[in-house]
Amino acid sequence: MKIELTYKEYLIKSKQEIAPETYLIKLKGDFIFEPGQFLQVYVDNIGEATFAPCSDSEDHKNFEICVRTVGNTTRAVAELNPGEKLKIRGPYGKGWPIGKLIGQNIAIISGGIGLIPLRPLLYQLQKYPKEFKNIYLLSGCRTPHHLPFKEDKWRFKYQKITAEKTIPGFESERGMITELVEKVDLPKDTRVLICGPEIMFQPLCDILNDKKISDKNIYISFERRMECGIGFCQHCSIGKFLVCKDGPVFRWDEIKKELNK
Amino acid sequence: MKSKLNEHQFSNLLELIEKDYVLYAPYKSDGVIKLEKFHGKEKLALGQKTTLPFKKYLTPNGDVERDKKIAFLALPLCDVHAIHILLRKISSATKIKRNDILIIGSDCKKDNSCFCEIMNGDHFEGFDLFIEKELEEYKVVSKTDAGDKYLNKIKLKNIHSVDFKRNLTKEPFNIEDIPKAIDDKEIFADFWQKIGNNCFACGACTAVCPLCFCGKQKFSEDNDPYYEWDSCFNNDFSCIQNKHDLRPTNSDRIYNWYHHKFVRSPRENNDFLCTGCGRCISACTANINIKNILSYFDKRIEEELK
Repeated sequence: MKIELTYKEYLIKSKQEIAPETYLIKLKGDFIFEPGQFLQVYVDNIGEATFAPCSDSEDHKNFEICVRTVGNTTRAVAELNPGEKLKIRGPYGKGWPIGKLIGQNIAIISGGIGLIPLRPLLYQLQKYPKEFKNIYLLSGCRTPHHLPFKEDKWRFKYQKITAEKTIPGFESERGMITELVEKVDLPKDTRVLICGPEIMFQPLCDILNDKKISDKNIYISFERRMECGIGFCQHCSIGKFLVCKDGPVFRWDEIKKELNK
Repeated sequence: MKSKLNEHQFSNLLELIEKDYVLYAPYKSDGVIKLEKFHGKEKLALGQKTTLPFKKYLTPNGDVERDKKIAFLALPLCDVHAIHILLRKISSATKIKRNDILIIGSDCKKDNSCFCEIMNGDHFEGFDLFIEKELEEYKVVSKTDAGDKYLNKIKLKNIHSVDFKRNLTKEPFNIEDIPKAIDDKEIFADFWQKIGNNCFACGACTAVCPLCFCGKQKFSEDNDPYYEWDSCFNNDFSCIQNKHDLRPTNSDRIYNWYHHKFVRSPRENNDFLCTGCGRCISACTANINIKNILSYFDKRIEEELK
């Protein structure tokens, strides 16, 4: 059946390999989105894939997407060169609850390339420091080499990177992200924003609960198979929610009951 | 003005409709009732439920365009209701409008698998015209302007209502509290495992259900997006990258089927994705019976309340 989807073409300005098999692609144009939303990229004769814009959402001249090559479409996107164009539709979904973060302590916890959809939020937090209390940025990765956006300089009070395998010359803790979070002294009213592999969510939230942080203050961005992005095809369902319409960011107390459905 | 049509006048009515719409009607061929493009009144199977529902004509598979408005002749009331629910679910994406469809309902023969009155699928509404065959004559009721137009053309009096008799489901149950029980997967984990053990995950239920509409996005050679029917029982339905399947077992998949119909969909707009047509019962190769499953939950709820 025919379905109404509108794509817009954007010119690729630059492409940079920022981690193994991970490319930062800068596109020209005003793509209006909220931090945490996602978009769909279509490559002619190959297919469609889901990405999160990862640049400053207040930059109205350019925007960036970050691509880890895992399948046909992501590989095809990564093979495009500056000067070529990308077909994009979106943005879709509900992003990070910025309104609920005003005046709060905020912990950003990422695993691997889970940092991508959090990056537009980091720009906001950095730009308006008076609006927020303390900000904790905790990132986990396989090796520091694998961490995206290593060059980003954030001026947050507390920033730590932990790697399963450390490398000389790069300052990081050694261990899993859960171990790092355990060590950090987070106030109990902290709003926590998480993105990364799904396997880390439950153990992380258990640790946060031990620190008296309640489930309703934990927000997580979920990944599911996206086809339409507009709440029609039902591929991205988590229980009674659709990731494309009700998410991708969910409050942990609401989503955790739905995860096994 | 007359209030009933004879065979000849009935043919006239269909001819008039065919001028404005592509008309689909139920025919009996090879022992099966099929919805086919209208090709004369012979072999017309009025009042009989088609094996496959209307959905493939409403939203043709592949990139084929519907070029004209479509009319359905003699849909049972459960299907009339299903059209409305399906349109509410898909029209924002597909731009198919109710006004592009002429719905001609008809009385139907209830079989063992039907339970429309439990799912509120038997209300006498939602159609443009309704016909009931009585011996050699046809009673016709109109409910909309589009229906009135044809009644006026054939100079027929609108009788507003017919009283047709229907058998009720032998063991009725109350649907009201069932969604909550379905939502509570943990409590009924053993039950769902048992159903999953029986299910072959063949997807026949999703093919025959008028309200299974999950879609798969495809692209034509010209790179235009279109949708094909998908089934939530397919292997790659809930796969994310690296072929990681989030619903790997049959019990995950059949649970998702029920959960979508009775929990996720009503959460969105109060519509159950079931009108009690019973096609999935007839189609199931593993003899899984939605009526038995729903009434099992109803009984368990009653026991809990005691």
